[in-house]
Amino acid sequence: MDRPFPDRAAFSAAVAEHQRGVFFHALRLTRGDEQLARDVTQRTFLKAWTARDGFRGDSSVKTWLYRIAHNLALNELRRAHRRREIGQDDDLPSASVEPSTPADIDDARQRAALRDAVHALSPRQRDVTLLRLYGDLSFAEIAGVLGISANSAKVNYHHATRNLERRLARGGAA
Amino acid sequence: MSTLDPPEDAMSDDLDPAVSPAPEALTDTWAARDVVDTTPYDDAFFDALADDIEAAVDEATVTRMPRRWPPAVAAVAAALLLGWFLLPTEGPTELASAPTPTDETSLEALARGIGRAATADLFDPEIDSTSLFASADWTTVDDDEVPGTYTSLLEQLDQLDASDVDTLFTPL
Repeated sequence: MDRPFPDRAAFSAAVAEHQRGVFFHALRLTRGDEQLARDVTQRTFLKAWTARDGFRGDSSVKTWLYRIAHNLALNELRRAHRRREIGQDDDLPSASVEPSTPADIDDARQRAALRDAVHALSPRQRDVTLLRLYGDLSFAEIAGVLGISANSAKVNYHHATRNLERRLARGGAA
Repeated sequence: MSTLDPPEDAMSDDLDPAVSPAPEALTDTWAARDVVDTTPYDDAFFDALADDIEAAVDEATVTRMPRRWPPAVAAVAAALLLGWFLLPTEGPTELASAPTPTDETSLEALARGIGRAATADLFDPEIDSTSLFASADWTTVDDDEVPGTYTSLLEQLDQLDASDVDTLFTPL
């Protein structure tokens, strides 16, 4: 199997192509923690470069990068959770942009409701939803990122959207 | 959560595959809204992030390189090593006025003998080391003040031919 990045130029091209998707996925998983998402993105590409010889080629580079980022972000979330448990850290930050106009406030309120509803899902349904709705990944790609079957990704997504619909309807934000 | 809700924490294999998703119009609305605000992150942000990534990879690449001496250092080291090997063999050959092999052997034996005697005297507790070192410039002092060891050395040196003395003390 060819390396994912035969040289630095190919690596730089991959950074340019995928860094947005990787960063935003990390940002969504960390509930808007920009610094953490930035750190995860940087470490994702660093790990991809240093581990490029271990790339088996049974998935696309995009899927591989998302998988690395996803696992790094989850590790950071677990670490943050442990810090909170022992009282060393506050809750993860919410979306950091302060709304100014009534429209912005409404938009921010609906965004916060949606974010809370997504993060109230089971981890598997949350992951599938974030990758499908916002990462624009196919079910096959989601399966590659999460290490599950494509059918499992699809079924989890269906259940997740139904749960979201119910939760948001209860909260009046659907 | 009512008992009619789908199991959220169940493993994926326990989920009902017949469940239909929420209406597409609704999921499109959610997709357009996003759970985070992505508008603050422009090209400048990602240019800076890409620079950070490249810098991190550069640093990791340098760190992971096998430790090798730079070529210039290796060349200097090789030159010094070569010089070290050549000095003992080329020095006497060039400086001596065409000594025969016998001369070289006898001179070397003499030099070694002088060195051994001097070293032994240095560690001889019966010899006053203070006076030894105090008269380091022993070629200029009165012979009466020179300790016996140096007198002996001088006598041995005096027995050499002028050319032999030059050979012994010519810097290599």
